[in-house]
Amino acid sequence: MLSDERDATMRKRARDEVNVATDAAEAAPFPTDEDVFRHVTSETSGPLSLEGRGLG
Amino acid sequence: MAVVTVIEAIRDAMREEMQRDASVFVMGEDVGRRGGVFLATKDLLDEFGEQRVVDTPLAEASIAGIAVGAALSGLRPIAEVQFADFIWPTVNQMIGEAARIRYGSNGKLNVPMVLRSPYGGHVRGGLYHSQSVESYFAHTPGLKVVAPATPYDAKGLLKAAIRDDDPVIVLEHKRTYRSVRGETPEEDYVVPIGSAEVKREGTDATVVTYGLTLHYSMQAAAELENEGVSVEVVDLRTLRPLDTETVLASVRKTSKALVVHEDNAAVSVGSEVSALIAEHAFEYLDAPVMRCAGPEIPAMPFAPTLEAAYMPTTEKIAARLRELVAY
Repeated sequence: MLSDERDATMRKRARDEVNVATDAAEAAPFPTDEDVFRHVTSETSGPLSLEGRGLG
Repeated sequence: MAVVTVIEAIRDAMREEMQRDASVFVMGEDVGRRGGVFLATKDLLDEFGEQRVVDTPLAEASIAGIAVGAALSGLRPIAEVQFADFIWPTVNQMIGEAARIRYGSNGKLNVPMVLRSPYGGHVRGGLYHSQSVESYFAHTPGLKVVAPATPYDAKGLLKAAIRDDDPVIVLEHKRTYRSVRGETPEEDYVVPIGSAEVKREGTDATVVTYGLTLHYSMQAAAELENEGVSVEVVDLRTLRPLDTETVLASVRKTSKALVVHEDNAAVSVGSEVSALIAEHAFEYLDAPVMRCAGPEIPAMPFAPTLEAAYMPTTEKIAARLRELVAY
């Protein structure tokens, strides 16, 4: 059974996880324009230049 | 080398990959006891059991959604949609979710799944069993789309798709299932996704095509040879990512290009191929890029006369080639 105490613990854990992730995201540097092409598929895990995509 | 049909090659690919990798499983409507509406999964239930050959409800959105979830959890699902005409409920899962998960997670997550579906006409299937759906998916970054036309390519591309770490749509032209036979090696092989193939070499004009119309194009090229015209035929095999180098190399050699497919012409794979040629091989062209494609109507007509009017055929392709060569 889900008790109030267990519910509060789970909510706090979830909230803490989100807060940690949010703080990390806000502290991270902005990506460069070239990063826009990263991670589209497994072949594009690294940055590709805009010129390389015919968009420069 | 074994001589098999396209459907047998597809079945062999799934069986071999399921034997090789325990994380591979198939799911879809009637794939288990029935063995698939076209018998693509015939006998797989007996060999691999219900945990790996899963009959699903008639619910394509769920089939795709479950496959996405399974792939995110480390499995390699092969989901089947019985006819591409019924693929629309999967669009939210495939385009809305699967295509974007790697990108949206900055590369932390990926969706190694396959969605197989028979497509295309010339089978008297009418409005709901003949559609060409490739352009909708090929438009989408994050998806890979393949459309093999021969047993060798069907087996090799499906195996490559199953091993790929991204979502791959495998479109199988149903007219080729039993009408096209060819050799496949006994040993393991894959056809790399993203590689086109010159199926026939020539010097006077290039046909760029895929799927069923590859075979009609080959016949048209043979006809033109009797008239003293040498036609090169490029089989795209993969629609995303396109093998632009093979296409451009051929067009730079022949200086004339005809793009052939069954899908209607507007905003299609042929549109993209034509644009690439115009952008990157314009100075090599001796004629405008021409197209031979389905007409601008929303579905395959049911009447045999109208289906015949719709389909690109050997005769229509040959006629366009004569027009192109004479330009």
